[in-house]
Amino acid sequence: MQKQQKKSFEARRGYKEGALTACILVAAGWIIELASGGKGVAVPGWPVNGVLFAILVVIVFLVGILLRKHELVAWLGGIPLGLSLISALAGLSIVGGILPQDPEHGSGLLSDIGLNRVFASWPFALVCILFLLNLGFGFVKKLVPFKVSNIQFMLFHAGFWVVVTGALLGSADLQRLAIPLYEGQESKKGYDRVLDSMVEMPFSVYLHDFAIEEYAPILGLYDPVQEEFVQNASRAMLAVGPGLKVSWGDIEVEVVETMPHGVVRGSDDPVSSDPASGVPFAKVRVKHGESEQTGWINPQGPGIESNYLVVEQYVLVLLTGTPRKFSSDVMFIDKRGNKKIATLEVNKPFEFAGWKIYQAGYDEKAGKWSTLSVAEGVKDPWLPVVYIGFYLIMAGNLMFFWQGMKKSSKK
Amino acid sequence: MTWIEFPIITAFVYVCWGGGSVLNLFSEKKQVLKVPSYLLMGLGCVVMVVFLVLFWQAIERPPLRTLGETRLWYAAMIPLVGFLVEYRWKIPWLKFYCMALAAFFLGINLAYPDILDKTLMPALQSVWFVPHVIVYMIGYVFLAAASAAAWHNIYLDYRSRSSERSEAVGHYLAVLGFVFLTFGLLFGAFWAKEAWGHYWTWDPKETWAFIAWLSYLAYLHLHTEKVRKRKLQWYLGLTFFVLLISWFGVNYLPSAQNSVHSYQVN
Repeated sequence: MQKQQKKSFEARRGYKEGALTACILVAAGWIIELASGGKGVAVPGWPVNGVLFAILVVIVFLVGILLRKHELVAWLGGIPLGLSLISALAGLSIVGGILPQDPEHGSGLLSDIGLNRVFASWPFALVCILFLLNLGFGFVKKLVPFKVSNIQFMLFHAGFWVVVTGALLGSADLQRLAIPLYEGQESKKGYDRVLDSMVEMPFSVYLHDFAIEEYAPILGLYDPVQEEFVQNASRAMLAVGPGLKVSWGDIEVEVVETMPHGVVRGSDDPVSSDPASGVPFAKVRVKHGESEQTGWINPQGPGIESNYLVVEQYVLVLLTGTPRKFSSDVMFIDKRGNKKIATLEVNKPFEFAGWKIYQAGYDEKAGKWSTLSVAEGVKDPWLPVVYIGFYLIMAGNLMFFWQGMKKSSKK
Repeated sequence: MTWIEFPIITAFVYVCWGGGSVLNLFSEKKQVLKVPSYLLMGLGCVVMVVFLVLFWQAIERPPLRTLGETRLWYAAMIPLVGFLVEYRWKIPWLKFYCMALAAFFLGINLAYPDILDKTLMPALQSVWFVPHVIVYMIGYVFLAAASAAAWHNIYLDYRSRSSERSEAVGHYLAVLGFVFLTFGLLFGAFWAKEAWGHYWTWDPKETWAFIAWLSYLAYLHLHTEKVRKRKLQWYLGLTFFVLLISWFGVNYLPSAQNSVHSYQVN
């Protein structure tokens, strides 16, 4: 019995042809890349991509249903070709997952055949196109005649088909603009990384205020010779608060007083200030053997010099805490003059005039004194298509889970 | 409980799992040892879970940010899958592999100690953070168990003692793992849309998660094609290494220099 099974699999038709087809597609893709001077794939925008979507759907259904008995169509929608294409996709992805993907850098053969932008290169596109036919024909094969037991299969495969098609064709209509904003200024310019140029947006943005909230400052003992921080026995980042006591060997440090935001005038002690203009301060008492010293330490800020304590060969420093939150108070103004006030924050985008606006970044060198806030505007008209695909996959996935549990309990 | 107590806890858990496993092996001949063996192994798991809860409390945020933290979850969960399989399918050997894997990942944490850092960068402050990572961890745990089952099946096959039931268990674990992997991938896409503006950007971590997903997708199709069992078990056993690349191996690849998925402390 087992021998027969082995024979039936290894002699099954279609695997050699599938593998060969996948190899030919990849090779053909590389040849196109070389011949076209490494321009990559340019997916046509709306409405051509919409028409392509419709044509693909029609081909899948018409050919899949009418010619389903045809040997070639059966092979095109079969697992042997599917597995070959999955392997090709995985192989190309491995290349893209190992080599840095950066179209602007790289030279020689690697960039000529698009290995520094695998996912926008011809081999990937060609494999994807055949993969869509394979998925589509496989789906139609299970759709007609309709069986309830095939619903899980259909949801999963249809969902995957919709996601891949929507994402590939929709990429032409996807717009992502980096929008630099300066405090107190209005701007309607966005930078398009794909086109490498500034474009005018259909609305303008006024940045009222950019603000950063920071975590508590960190206490560190720095070794200037080794150029590294000395490990403390607590195995923790030492967030500074009043009463904190830490030690590095026989160096004992106690935080006597803290000031979240302060400034120094002359050689006096620091005085409290508003969050926007000050830096954190900590008054620390350091004991080392017989010697004891107490003093204020602080990180550097605009017009504020950093202060530290020298302990033996080490330096006790206070480091600014990492950002807990950064946000921009903005006003959007559309072409008709309609205004909308919003706060942009990471993970909390805002929708305006068909665009989603994100808090993307700021001038990290300036930290909380940054007057620059970088927003990102995204317009992705195909998003609903892709999300429908995601939901179909999730529905199929839930059924898969359910079926798996039921089947496994039978055994 | 923080990383200071971690080595002691790990040592205690090692003793529980190791001692319990030895007793369990001997209990085939001496029935009396059965109950104490399970109590001891169970105690190891309870200690792991309690440590995780107290660690969560100490770090004041979900301990799912660094690789070291995710390994704690993994080590707490994977032995539970071993016990579940024994309870449900009466397969006793999987739990040993599971405890060994858990011990191995705790060992990595001992060798490369983490630093307790309570901060959570703005990109991670999202309702998606916990579901995305936990679902992935559960997926990894099931797939690790599936690959352990596959290695055991290869061994059984080598000794000409292959069993259909044990092959079936490996497959069910792989199916469960794939389901969670798929949810993890999709939750990640939904989150990425909210945080970074697009659901898919071919970030190295995403790319490797996709490769791992494709690998298990291929496994499912090979299974329906009734590929020779021994080959299939080898495939299932080895695919887990692709998953490990997407979990932490990706950090060591040249592509990782541009990754937005790097949340380690420098």
